[in-house]
Amino acid sequence: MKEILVLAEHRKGELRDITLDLLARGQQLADKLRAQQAEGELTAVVLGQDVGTFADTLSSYADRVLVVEEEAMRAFNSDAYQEALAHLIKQRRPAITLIGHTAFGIDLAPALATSLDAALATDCIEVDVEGGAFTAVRPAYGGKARMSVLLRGDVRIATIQSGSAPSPSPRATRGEIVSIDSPLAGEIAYKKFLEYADTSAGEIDITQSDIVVAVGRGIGDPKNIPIVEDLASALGGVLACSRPVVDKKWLPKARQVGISGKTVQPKLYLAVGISGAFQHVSAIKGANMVVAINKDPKAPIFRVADYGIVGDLFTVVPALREKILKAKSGK
Amino acid sequence: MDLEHVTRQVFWNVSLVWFFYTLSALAVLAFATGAYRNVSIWLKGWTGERLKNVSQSLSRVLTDGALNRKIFRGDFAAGIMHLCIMWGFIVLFIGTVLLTIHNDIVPFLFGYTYLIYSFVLDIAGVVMLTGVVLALVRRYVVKARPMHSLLDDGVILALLVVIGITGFTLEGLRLEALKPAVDDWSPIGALFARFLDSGLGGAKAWHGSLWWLHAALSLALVVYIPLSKLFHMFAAPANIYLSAEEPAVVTLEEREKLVGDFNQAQMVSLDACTKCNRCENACPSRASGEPLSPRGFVLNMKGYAKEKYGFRARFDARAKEAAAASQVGDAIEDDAGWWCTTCRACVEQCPVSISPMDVIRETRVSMMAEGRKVPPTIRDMLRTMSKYNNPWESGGSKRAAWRKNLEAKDFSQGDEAEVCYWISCVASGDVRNQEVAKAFISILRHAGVSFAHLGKEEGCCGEFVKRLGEDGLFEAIVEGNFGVFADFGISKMVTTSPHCYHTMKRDYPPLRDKLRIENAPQLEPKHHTEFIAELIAGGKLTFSRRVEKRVTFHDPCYIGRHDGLYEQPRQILRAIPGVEVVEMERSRENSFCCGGGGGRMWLESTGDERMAELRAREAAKTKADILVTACPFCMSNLHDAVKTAGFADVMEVKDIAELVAEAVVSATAYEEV
Amino acid sequence: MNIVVCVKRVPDLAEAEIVVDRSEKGIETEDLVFDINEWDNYAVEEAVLLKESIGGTVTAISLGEEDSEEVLRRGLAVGADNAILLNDRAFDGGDAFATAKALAAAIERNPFDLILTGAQAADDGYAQVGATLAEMLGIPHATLVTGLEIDGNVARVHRELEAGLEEILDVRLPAVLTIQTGINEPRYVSIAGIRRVARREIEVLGAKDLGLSGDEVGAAGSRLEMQRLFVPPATQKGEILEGSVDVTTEKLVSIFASKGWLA
Repeated sequence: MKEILVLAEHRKGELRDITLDLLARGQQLADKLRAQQAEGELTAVVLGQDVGTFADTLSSYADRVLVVEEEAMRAFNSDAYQEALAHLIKQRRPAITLIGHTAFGIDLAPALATSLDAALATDCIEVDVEGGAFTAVRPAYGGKARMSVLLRGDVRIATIQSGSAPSPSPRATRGEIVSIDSPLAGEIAYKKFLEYADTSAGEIDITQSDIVVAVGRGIGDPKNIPIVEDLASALGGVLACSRPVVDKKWLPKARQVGISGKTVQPKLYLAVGISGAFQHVSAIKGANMVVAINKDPKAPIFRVADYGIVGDLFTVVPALREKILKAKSGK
Repeated sequence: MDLEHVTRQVFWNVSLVWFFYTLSALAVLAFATGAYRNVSIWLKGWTGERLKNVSQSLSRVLTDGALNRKIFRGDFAAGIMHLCIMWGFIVLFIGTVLLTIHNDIVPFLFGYTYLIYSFVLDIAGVVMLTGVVLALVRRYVVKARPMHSLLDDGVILALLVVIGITGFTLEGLRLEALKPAVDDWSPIGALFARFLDSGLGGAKAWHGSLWWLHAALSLALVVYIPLSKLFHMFAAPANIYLSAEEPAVVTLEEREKLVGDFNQAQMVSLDACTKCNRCENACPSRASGEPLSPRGFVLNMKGYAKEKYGFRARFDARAKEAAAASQVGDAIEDDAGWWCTTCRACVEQCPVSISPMDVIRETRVSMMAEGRKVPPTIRDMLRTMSKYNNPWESGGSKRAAWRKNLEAKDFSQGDEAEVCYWISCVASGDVRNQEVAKAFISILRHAGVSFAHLGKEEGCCGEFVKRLGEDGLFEAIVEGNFGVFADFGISKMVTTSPHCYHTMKRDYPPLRDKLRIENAPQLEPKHHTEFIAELIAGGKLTFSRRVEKRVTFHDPCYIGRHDGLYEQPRQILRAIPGVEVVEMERSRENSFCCGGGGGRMWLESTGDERMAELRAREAAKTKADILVTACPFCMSNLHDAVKTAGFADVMEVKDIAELVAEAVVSATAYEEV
Repeated sequence: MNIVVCVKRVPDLAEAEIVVDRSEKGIETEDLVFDINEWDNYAVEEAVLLKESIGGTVTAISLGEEDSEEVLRRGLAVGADNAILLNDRAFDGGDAFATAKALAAAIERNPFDLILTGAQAADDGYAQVGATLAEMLGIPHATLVTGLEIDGNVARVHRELEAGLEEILDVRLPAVLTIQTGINEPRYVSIAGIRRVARREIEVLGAKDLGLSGDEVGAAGSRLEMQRLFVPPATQKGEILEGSVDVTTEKLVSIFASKGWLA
């Protein structure tokens, strides 16, 4: 019980960001194990086909990188992954295995855990070990509460929420890369990956963005919309709008936030020139932060905003955009 | 000539009279079959409750049926047209019946009786022809208003014209051929006789052929009656009679035992429609370019009923199967039923008392029960409603907090008062309407009214739930509310929302009785326009400030057309010193809906221009400084529309309570509320 | 096609204030409103849509206390043919593993072709029961399903990945699919609809009926041991930034930067 196993996640030839979260979290645990029981190491696992470059990258963050190459795992297939990973876990008996709480991990981890009779804590924002006991903190009730749980038994898996750990820094010395023969008998016949499809091709889906910058009637004229659109792109968010803007056909319906439009739950909802009629504000209740820019200090949007700027959008928005770009380029 | 013996020689110059009798018998048989079909379809509706006021219903039939009162409204020429055709037709029909009696049963048309008979029928013929020509000109030449012409409109008018003209021609030819001594009592026939070529001895021959044409077309018309909109001659008076009272409330429990999609009166109403299109022309949804036509909807349902219950569905196995499976929701295109704002403009306009609004609501009830065709925004709102007893938010804690801030008495906190001020969901949740609540409270204070609100115990009245056809949920809401009213001993109620007011006044009492809700008080709901008007009349409000403004009043549908409160708001406005009242082009019963009723607050328009914007434009034409209304939905929609339509700089939207508050309360006191 | 759909009764969280109870393992439920788990709502609709298009039966199953009958009844109103409630004190405090155990035992009693669950539950948010159930039953699964077509014994599914991407795969039946929201438009369930099924029988089963012992299910049969439930400290709401345009925008930018949005 000294090894922390981390499963690298990759898609379409790219290592996904969650992998770094997992490595950081894994490193913390390995360090703790070392402090508590003198032994602790971090092992990354990469499954797939032609994943040598991933192994190279991973070796900068782990003591060891295990590589299993197999055509059946070229694209993610939870059953193929499950077989390979179960084999490794049975063999190595790690203290805990960390997987991303992503579409990939959600498909893989539960069945893997069940097949190993392991304890599984999903969507963890913290994992801790104390005297050999692993505990995790995970959200409950839609994030309004948190629960801390103890993972029973000695086979443990945790899926980690993305963005819940700081980025790890690369090590001075690289870990070893170990190639392991595939335990798979061949193709998984009952589950076949066919292809990827991009749903946002064509129409934009504003509900998927973490940052939504919405423009309202205060914009006055459709020719002014680019002012707000530029702010949205400076923030890396999408442009949305309130009903009057759609009514005027200045923007397509797909961008409308409101009872009759889209309900959004972004991290940041920036409302520009939106007064905040109840039809509108009830659709942004799920936003983590609401910021409002409006010239009317009595605009109801300020009642739901976490931060507000009272002022003319035509001066505030360009100034804000400029400062954002400056802040971004400064880093 | 012996005047005593003047009479008509029936079947003069007609051979094969037996053949005519055979044809007539066949025509009557065909008519009876068609009529039987139609009436049997009517009977597929469920039986409504017995009318409570028969004499009122009968007098409706007299004014609206016999005298065409509502056809004259807003279109005098149409009234004249229809009255001419209708009475011309009736008199000619009676004339034919009398002639049959005279010929086959008891001869009585002699002498003066005959001459008067002859004269009256001549006039009736002219009257009918005048009407028909007027109709043709209006429909096809001058296009008096947007109409929806189908083949049967043309066929009917053509038949009437040809029958009328051949009738007179026949009379002329007969007079010409027989040259009776006394012919002046058939002035039109005589006129025709003069025009017809007397030189030829052919009058008799022409008469023989023409007679058969006239007879054949007349019989064809008889056959055509039950197959076409002409059947309205029976369905319309029947509908006027049956619709004189609002349809009775049907509880969920009662409904479970009912078979069919509509009640019998509604089934009759589908046949009463003559496609005059007045409903469509008055429909605000239509005006804003949405896919709803009340006329289209009614005719669509008529088609659906014929398909489901007609002869084919009874005798053809495959049609029977299709009919059994067909559901009312499948017959509706473009979700048309959900666009209705239930503004009642169509009902107000219909000359024969059809209520497309109620027909639409009935289809909503069916679609609600089935669930598939409920628009997502409405579905979600109803779910919120059923969970939280209000449509806007889940918790209700914000509303409660806001209500607490009003610093008025609160029943839920143990306070006591005479009158319950029902604040309403919109006035509690929408910032603009919260101002109205404050203004109204300041008025109540000024007038020394003993009032309290229900605080955290006030839920939703359920009005739009009912309009949307979710009757089960509505019943649950009503039961819950009566429980609250009973707990606090509330019966006197005042509210600024016409929707809460209307439903408490019209929908709550019958449900209270039918659901046998224990300890439920008799409600006396008042709309604030009614309440303020009474305060003014009773000298309880004294105006201390002048409001030098030109204002126009937008009649909310649910106090206007639905409840007839047209005078009260105007009395109030006239009482405020300085106020100049101007009327919009469409006001009172012709008022144009803001688009907020019938659940439409939860359904976004796909139309070209929103109803509220159309209304804002109309209001702006009056050059009023303030567009005054008395409904939170109207306030919300018009307040928005005045901005989007570009009138924000010239016109404000205010609730009538705000105007009154300005005039009675000192500025500082108002702010303190 | 015999379809089983698993449903759960959960509190509506949209505006609910969560208060942890004295045991520190549960929440105060008095002021909460309960309803069918949103993901399960889509799963029920999908099951009934499948039944309507290709025929078969739909069985709704729920693990919970007696009041979970209301979400089963809702399922019946939508179009499910049967409903089963797994209600036993022995099930209390179970994690996803223990819950799946009981569900698997109940589902195994009858032949089935397809099992649908919600992708996750709004309360504990494990996103785990469906795939666990599949593994216990020895059948394949696909999670986060946003599109589904059945062709013979193969389900062609769309799985929702991140950033607008989907993967399309074929899964052989019988299988468990966990349904993501947005896969369909769940129909409205009216009071009249609920009333129509008010008298339909709901089969109630306990651990014994399923041949399970008390330590296989509930808290005892769980792999996770709940230690503590708590509410994280709330952030203060509503601040109007004061000052000139330069000052206010600068303040806002530093707030954005602190959140890592300008990285």
